Amino acid sequence: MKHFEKLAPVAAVISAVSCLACCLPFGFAAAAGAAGLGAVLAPLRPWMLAISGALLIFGLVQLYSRQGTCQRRSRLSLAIFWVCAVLVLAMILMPQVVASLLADRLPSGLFSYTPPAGQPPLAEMDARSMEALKTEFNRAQNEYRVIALLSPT
Amino acid sequence: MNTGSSPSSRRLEPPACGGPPQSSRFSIGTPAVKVRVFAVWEPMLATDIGAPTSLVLQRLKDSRARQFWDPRHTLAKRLAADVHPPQPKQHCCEQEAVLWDLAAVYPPGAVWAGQIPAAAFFDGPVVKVQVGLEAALVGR
Repeated sequence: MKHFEKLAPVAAVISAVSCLACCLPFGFAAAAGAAGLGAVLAPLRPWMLAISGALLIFGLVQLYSRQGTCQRRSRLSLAIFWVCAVLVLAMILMPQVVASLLADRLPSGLFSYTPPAGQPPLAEMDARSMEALKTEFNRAQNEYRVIALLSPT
Repeated sequence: MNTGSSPSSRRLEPPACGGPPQSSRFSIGTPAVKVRVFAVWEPMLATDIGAPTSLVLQRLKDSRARQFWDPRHTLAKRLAADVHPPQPKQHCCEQEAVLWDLAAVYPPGAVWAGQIPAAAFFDGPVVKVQVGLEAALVGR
């Protein structure tokens, strides 16, 4: 049980951070038309918040329901609990502020979709962009053309 | 990689296993070769949860390149459907019937009308076909 009191608040933070997916630039994928993390997690936000709250309450009970026992509360457990409680509350009460702070700290380019200078914006392949590709392919018919199929990761 | 303004050598530094090019070079031996590149990124691995980020896109710096994100494998399916002679048969590059990690070279004069024209070079994995790719780009 001792480990649960440390794990519960950490799990609460992880759950709460997941809620931010709709605020953080993770939404890139949705913007790009893909089934992105933001789009997937946004509908789950209420559930994630509920899980966060439940995990915090569970941690609280674990920490403070030992009245009458001789066992002392670990300082580490207390520290983890209260740090996580503050984090979860911040994410529940001020999601946009926390998301902005996190976004500012993340390396640029990690959640943006900007091609190098001189190139058109990244286009999602659909009937229209396929037609644009075809047009551009034929417009450059005096040149060699290379089509490369690649995977981002 | 050629930045577009410089006519210095261009080489497609291929990715490992279909991933993004690991270095930012796109060069080919003969600077005089005019080439247009269409890089089409598609989700093939479990980690491909979204479109390629700037960090990936920046590896193909040539201004004559155009990059696409193809989550539904539209172009890969079209390339597979439009295969016709004298296009060479690829030695690899299919996963669950979807083409990937492959480069196709189309010589000057090839026109995409009803079908995608036959490629002069059509093979992968990109990391292993550098020599053939370069040869096709100089018409050998």
